[in-house]
Amino acid sequence: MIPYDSSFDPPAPFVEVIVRHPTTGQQHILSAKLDTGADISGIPQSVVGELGLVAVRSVPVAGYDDVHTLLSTYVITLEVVSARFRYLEVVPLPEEYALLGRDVLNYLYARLHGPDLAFDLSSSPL
Amino acid sequence: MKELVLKETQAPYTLTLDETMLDEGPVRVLRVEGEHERTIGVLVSPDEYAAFCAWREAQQRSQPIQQATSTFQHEVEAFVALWPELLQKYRGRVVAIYGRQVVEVGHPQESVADVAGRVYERIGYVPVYVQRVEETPRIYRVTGPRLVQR
Repeated sequence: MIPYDSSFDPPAPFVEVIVRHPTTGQQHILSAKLDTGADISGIPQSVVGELGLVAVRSVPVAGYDDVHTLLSTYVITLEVVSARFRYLEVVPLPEEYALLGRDVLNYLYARLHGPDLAFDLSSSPL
Repeated sequence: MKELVLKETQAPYTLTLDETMLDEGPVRVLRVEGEHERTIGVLVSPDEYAAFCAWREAQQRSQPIQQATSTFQHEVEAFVALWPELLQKYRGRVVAIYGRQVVEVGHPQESVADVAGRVYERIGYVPVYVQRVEETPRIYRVTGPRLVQR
């Protein structure tokens, strides 16, 4: 089991991921929050700059307040647990961590052990 | 008759520097030439030099990105200009615009990332605009974190 990140209040399920440039393979290892409320995954804006990613398009993105913000999207390669997403479209986030939305989570098996503040995540059935 | 040029040899420069001098900021090194002074260098503390190197590295990194952003904008404009034709031919499919023309069209079930990846494999990592041809753009919901404000 993977322990929740207790630096968040309440603690949250975070997993280590590898974000790679889609052609050079240059990589960045960071923590990613599991978020079934997100339609699309995201990576920190700082990682976009560090990897020298170029935008592929802009999409309207809405938050809790339903206000639409036009965001550039980028294509990356993502590795999480034993799964590899060769080309994945992501949005930039003003956070230091990445976000795994349903575009990624729907390919994985996740089991939350809330009272234990831990979870399982795998690319094969748990 | 051959000619040989006599070159004057110069004594090496010497510089006396009190290390605490750099604590007060950069020090200009001047060469006195007759009645004129010429700046031939500037001495900075190691910390300032490290900060400068980091700044220069960031500048060098951002240059190609700025260039790519400008090229990308041209591809967006081309997509807008080609819109009526794209809608007629490729409704619901993903197209990639590069060099102001369509260079890749996705299969009906392919995503923007799939098509972009194919362009990168074929042409290289270039600023390409990839978009699904649809009259009403999809709105993505990201309810957790704050969004990057443009």
